[in-house]
Amino acid sequence: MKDIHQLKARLSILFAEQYFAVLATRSGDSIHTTLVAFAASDDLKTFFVCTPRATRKFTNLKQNPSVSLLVHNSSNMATDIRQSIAVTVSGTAEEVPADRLEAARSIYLSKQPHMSGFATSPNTAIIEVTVGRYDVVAHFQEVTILEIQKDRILQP
Amino acid sequence: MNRILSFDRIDDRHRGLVGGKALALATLMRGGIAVPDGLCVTTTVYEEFIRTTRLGTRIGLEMGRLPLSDMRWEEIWDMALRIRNLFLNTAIPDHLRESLASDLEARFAGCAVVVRSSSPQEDRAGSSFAGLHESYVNVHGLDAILDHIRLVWASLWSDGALLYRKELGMDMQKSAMAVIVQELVEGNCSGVAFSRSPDGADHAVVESVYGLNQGLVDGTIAPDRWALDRRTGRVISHTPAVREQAIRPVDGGVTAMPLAEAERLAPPLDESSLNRVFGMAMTLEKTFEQAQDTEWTIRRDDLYLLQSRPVTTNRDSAAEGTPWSAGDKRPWYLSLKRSFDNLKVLHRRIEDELLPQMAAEAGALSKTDPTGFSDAQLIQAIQMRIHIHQHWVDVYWRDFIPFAHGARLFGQVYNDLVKPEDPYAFTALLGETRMTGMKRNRELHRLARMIRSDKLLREGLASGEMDQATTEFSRHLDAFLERYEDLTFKAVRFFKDRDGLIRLLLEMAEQAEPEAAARRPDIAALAEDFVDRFPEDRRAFARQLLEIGRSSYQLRDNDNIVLARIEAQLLKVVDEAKRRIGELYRLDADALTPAQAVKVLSDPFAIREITKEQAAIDEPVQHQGRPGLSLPTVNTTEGDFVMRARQLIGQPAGQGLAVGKARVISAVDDLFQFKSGEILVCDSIDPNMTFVVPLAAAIVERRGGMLVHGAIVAREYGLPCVTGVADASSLIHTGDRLTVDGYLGIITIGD
Repeated sequence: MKDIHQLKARLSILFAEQYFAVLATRSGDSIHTTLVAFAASDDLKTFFVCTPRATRKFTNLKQNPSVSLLVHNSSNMATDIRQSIAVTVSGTAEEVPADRLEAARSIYLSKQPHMSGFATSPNTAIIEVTVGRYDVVAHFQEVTILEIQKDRILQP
Repeated sequence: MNRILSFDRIDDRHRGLVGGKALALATLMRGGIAVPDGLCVTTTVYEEFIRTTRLGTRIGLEMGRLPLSDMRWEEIWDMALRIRNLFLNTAIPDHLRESLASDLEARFAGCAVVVRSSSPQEDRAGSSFAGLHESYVNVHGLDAILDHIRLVWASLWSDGALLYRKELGMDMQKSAMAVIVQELVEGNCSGVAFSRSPDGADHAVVESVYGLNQGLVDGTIAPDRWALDRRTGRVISHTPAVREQAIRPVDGGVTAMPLAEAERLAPPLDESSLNRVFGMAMTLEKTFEQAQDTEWTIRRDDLYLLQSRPVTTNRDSAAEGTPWSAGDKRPWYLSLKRSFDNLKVLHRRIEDELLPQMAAEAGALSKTDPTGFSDAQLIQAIQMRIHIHQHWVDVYWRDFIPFAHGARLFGQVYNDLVKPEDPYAFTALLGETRMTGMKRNRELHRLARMIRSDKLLREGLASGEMDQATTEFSRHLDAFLERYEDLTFKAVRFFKDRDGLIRLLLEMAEQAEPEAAARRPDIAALAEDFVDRFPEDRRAFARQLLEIGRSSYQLRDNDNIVLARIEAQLLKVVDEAKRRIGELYRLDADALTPAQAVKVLSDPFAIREITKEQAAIDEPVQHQGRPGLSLPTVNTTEGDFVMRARQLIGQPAGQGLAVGKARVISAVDDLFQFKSGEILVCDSIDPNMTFVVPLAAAIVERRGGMLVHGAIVAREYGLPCVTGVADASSLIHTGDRLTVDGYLGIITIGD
């Protein structure tokens, strides 16, 4: 992917098309992965997932907020190895605080409307992952890194 | 299940199963026209074959490497070669083989056959795959017939066919191929007939040669040609050929043979036969209700129809300039296939005439010293050299590029015969260090060796004191500079001054003597093995093909170097003009094109106009589509997002693994800054810059292909090499740490 505009557009399409991601959290030396329904913000800087609080992933991310998500469009065909795209999202996870809960839930449900019961349940936490970097793998082994450098542009 | 259908069972309902060609033949046979009897192996068999062997998936993987629209013609050729090799190395499963064997054996036991393509997409209105799919003549026995059926299937994925389907927007994954197996009719004479001329003129055309018509179709044998009135059949004109050869069947194939004296003197068709051929073409036009392009043969007195399809009008490829000057050159490149006999003629012409003429011309031009010229003489010299340069550029495109097909043809014959797992194994037989560039590099090594073994000389040169140089070293250095004064890179002469060269030699002297590739194959043994696989009477052909392959392979180096010498002679007079212009007008004249230099030198007022044009100037002299001076820009930032390449993919073109710092070559100076152990990264390797290759740990090239220059040179030196890396020279920066995986074609940037 040689152009950043092209790359970001490709990611936006992928995140709109795919309902699920694999979320990796960590507890000590153990990695725990789970399939989650997600939504990404339009600016590609935040991911949202929902989880009941009594889950291992929730416990893990509370202890260690460094998480990864894998989003891909493989359809379990042999030729996917060349044709599919897989994106590792690395970032920091935290539960969305009450003052931003409505906005986060609205983004999440506009992508996953069928999850409204789950997303509004009292024991469900909405998690936001602030993205630090994307590792984009296309054509089997072509890897492009997209980083978000907050201090790159100095505020006036 | 309709796996196999004889012509008498084929009707309109079977079009999708048997393809247009088989359907037409069956229709004509039923209509009473003599057609060599045969049967059709339907698309069902092809589909079962690629499904049960999982070849379809493997083809899908190949096709998924890069979009076809992003591929250069050489990459398309490479992909087609790899796919063809997959077909060659995938046996027809037993159940399919058994289902075909009984019909094929019953019909063709003991007789020679023709195995021909009949794609359902072929010959439909608006598409003509003429010449893109393969046909094989004079095939004997069940095993050979089945082998050739696989080759015809593979031709569905030939380079030309791929590009053509893409142009027509056809879905390649859904394409299928039927195959016709027909009795070979060994005609006394054969030819083609157009019921209406393909150039649009309102007359019929008949062309004829002695023997089989393969030579006519591929352009090796010139035919006698008749134009006839479409209504009356009256001969409007007859253009006789210089009749020398005919294509005849030989053991397992066909070959060109000399004609008997009587045949040389008489046209292949007499009046009555000509009328019969014309009559058949017109009958076919009536039958199909459109003008027909037919192939026919006459055995003794019997006229047979071999093929009939709608006439497709010639594309006006030369409408604007030469065909190679078109924006998308790929269709032209892919049309460059040459037959063996055609290549043989081209080989002699290039080796015996063109290359020596070019070298002599460059040599003669180098003898003049433009500094003593008056302005008028200088203008005249530039104009003359522009003309000479253009002439050789045209020769390069017209003769040298098509001759590059020699190495490809050799590769195809080798793969058909040896069926190696590695489709590029054949390059081992072609790689001999006879290239001009290699000789120059060896001379550089000799100079470096002199520096390495003489401490005083080394120190003297390092401190810039040339008087410390020994007489012997100076003599060799001068001789080298004189011999290679005319090397250029991006329209700049390399050795305008000797400082850069000395810096490079000092760097080379720091290193141990380079070793030849670690495990060079025994080329003589490989060549012998190749030749021995042919029957006795075909070994001369095998040797000649090998020689053409080698010559073609080496020409990729030698023609560029000689052409660059001509270019350098043009630049020499242009440099002198620029020097004068610079002094006269106190400006930097470097960016002037040769034509602009002439303009300014002859008209002082032109300078204002030229200054305005400067922005539009790309490259002063261009001969082979070399890249422009400026690298393509790649957007890598947007707001607080920053993009960088971590891993790039290309084609593995030289095996091995190397880690080192990148040196991106975009100008002459980058070459002279080259440090040992660095990885050479460039847009495309020019034969004139290969002298730094011995210092390099690996090569990364944007231009793709297994037979591109970078790949050839990397294999010569046993270096890891990856070609076809999109935007290599803009995504990689000098100093980046690279890992080059020449086994898989992967470049990793950073630790």
